[in-house]
Amino acid sequence: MAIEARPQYQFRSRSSGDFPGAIGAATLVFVGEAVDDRGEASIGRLNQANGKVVKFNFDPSQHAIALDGVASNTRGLRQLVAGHDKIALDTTTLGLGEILQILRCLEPAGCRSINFLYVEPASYQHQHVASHRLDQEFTLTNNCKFSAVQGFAHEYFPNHPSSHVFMLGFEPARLLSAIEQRNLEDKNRTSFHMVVGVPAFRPGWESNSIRAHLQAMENLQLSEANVKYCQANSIREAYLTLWDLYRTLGDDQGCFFVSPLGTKPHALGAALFLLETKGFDSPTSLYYDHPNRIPKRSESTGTWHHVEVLIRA
Amino acid sequence: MTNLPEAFSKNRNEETGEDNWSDFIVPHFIHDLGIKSQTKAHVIEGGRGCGKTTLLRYFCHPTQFSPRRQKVRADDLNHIGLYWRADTNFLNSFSGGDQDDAVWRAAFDHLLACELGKEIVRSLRSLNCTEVRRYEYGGLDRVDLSALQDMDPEIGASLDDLEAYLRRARRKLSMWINNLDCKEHPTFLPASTFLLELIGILKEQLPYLKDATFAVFIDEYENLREEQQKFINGMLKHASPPLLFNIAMKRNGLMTGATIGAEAIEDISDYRTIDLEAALERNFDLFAAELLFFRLLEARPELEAYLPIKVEKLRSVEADDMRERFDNPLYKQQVLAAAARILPRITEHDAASEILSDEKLRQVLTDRIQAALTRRAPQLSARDFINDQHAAASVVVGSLLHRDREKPEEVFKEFHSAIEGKGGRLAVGSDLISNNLFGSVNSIYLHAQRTSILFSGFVALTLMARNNTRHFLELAHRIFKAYDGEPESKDTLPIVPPEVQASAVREASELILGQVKGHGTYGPQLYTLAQCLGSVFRERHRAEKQSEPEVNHFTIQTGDMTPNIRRYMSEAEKWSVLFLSRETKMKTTGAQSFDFVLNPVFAPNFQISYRKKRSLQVSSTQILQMLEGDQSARDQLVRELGKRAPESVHLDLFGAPI
Repeated sequence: MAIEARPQYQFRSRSSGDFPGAIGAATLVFVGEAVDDRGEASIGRLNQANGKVVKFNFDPSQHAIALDGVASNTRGLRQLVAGHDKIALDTTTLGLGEILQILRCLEPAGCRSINFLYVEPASYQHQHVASHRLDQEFTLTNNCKFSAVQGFAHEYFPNHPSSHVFMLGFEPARLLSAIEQRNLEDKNRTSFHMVVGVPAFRPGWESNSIRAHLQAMENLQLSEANVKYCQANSIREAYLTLWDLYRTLGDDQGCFFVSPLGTKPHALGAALFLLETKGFDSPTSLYYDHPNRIPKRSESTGTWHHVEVLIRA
Repeated sequence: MTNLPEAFSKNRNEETGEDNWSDFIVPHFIHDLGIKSQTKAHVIEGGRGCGKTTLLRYFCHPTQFSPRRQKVRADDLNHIGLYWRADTNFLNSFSGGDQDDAVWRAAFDHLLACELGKEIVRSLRSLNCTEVRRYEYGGLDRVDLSALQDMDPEIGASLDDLEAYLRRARRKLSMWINNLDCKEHPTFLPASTFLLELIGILKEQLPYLKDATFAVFIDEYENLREEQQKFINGMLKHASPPLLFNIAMKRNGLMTGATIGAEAIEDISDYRTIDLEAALERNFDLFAAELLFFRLLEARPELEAYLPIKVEKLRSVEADDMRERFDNPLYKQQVLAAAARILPRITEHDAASEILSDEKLRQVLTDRIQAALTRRAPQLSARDFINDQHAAASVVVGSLLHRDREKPEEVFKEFHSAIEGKGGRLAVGSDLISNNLFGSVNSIYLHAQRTSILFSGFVALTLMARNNTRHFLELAHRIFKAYDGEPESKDTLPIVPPEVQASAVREASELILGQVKGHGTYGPQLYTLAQCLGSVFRERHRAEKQSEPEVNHFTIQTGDMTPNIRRYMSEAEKWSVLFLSRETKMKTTGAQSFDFVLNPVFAPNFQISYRKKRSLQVSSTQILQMLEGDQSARDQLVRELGKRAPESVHLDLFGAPI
């Protein structure tokens, strides 16, 4: 049966070739660890603005959070957020686990909106595959292990119907690992959808996502109908694509698992979707691998994005 | 009826459901496992795809009490198997979140109580799944569980009530985990106490369960968190009938032997280890052939008369049927011969003849011989070393002439001595030929950029699959997918030409290798290790001299085995990317060395030998480079290690060069 609920969040997006000045008005800014040029650039510019900058860390193996390197907890985070009406997240350097922890605290703390800053890279580090010189191999992350995040954790039962939506990036290992961990071969009870970032950050980059996953898609016997395309740098598009799939698949497909393995804007769209649908009768859940980002994984900076999301009218 | 390739595509137990009564081929060691008469825990260990889940499913109630089973025997009720595989992604969330460790331990305990409680109720329903069985056993509607209400008044009194309560309890647990900061935790049940109480009530009220032991099988134990493993370890150690615990895991899956108490678990005294791959090894060829026919008959049942098996016998655990299969050499011989008819092989000798009869391959051999002669003995010609009636000698000569220690004139004499039937080092059946033929043939195929025909035949398939049922089925699946020649009549067995097999097996091997990227936390690193090693071995296999043919495993001879490398090696073994060869070689110093063998299922992808032959010595630094180095560093390593080693003389037992 189709789901009647509809997406409610509203988006205001701006893109520019340099730091978007409007985000400098945030009174509280969360940043993560910089591992490449764009991370250093975004933290550097945010540090020059007037807002209070807090380094935030989330350890998915222990579900522990730290603020400016000091162990804290949800209460501490809420206290920090309370009273700030303009909060910004440097999503270039924050991981999805961290972003979800912050988003969870916003509504209870009375926040109406949230600002995201994201900086595209000019290029990613890559190598040519030894056996297929035309293919490119990206090693952007390592130590991936699928691990639920409290608040967005629903159990997977192989004997029950479920839907899995994978938002694809450049590293097929992450999808293969997701399939392996859940033994996701039983097509009778699981429906699969792949979301590919098209148009990509740069023309041609979409083939890095598609080609890398063709074999896995063939193994799952997926057809064109199982592949959705959505702008790689659009949080809103990713959010609406998930909503679209969720509503179309309906509640007779069981739990709706989302695996954002691609671009950060797609991960942000997924985070917002999961936040909004949390507690719905037809459950949604994150299925994610919390990768470590490899230092110097990208070079220089590309487009800067500032997206403001209104989460409460 | 399924089509032929599809019959082999169901290669994971998860795809065939809980009840495998009709699909389970009883292995020769089934009674040696002692599972049905167990009094302590079993740890079932084996690589990915070796059949752990299938075995566990076989011993659990949906199979043992299958409606497809004609008769459940009284003693089948003595051991009731309960299967549980956790969603480890979900279980990973059982920590932190401002909750004490003790709370998470209790939550995990509660989850076990709910899951296994539901399984116990389901097992009773499985047992009573037919009218006849309900008449014989029955009584489920009369069960009164009100005594359990001491633990939680909401439990109810009937089995239906209990099932509903446990489902509700699981939902509450899930809701609590997603709302830790605004919800109190639900009432937690202690698993052992709750389950023992439940079992006690059932035994009291259902007399047919009076001798029953409920045996829990926890699958994929290796994916649990360390503290959850400790909790299970305690259950393994302290469990006794009527509630026992068993675990199944990949190699090196035991993160800790500790329990949550002071004592650790120890092999033999606390549990018995079953190495499933080792158990399968003795009769893997027979098992694989029976599986091949079993799946073949699913697609073409009319062929049963032409195959030396009876499907019913494969499913039987009766002593007579087992003896007929496993203690009857004639049966084994017939089964293996039939498998070899369906999947015929090309021997190295036949492949040598193939080389001489194929224009391109013959040219590669001719060029190879001529190149050596031009450099070493220009007065001789390649024609002097090629004889269609002595193809094997001709192909081996192509390698010998490149070896400095072999004088072309002497080789010429030996070759002609062999042709004239006067014996010598190149005579038919000589050690020189048998030691060098595979490598020499393969090298020519590699140079011609053709798929080597040596990767064909049922026996080769079993060697490549190496006691791994899933890999055997994946290879068979690709072979039958590639096989497009339908038998001439429906009463004819399919016979897949070796060329079709070799090409399909190469494709399957590439796909299996590609999946390594998704094997655990270090999947991408294990993949680059396998790629790099395979490429090095492939370079060695290309060598014209073939003075060290079939180099396909390695030893780490120098450098420190740092914790980092040990962890990678342990993961590589866990995921069956590498096998650690247990037979150690005593060096003159008394030190031991271990061989790491690249999984032979990757051999067709690289076109390297699937037989464990010669070893390559590497340093720990080089291995680390293969795992973590960038592509250019790995390419450099392949060039360095792939170069042939300085020529050394290999002597046979009697001191003669081989």
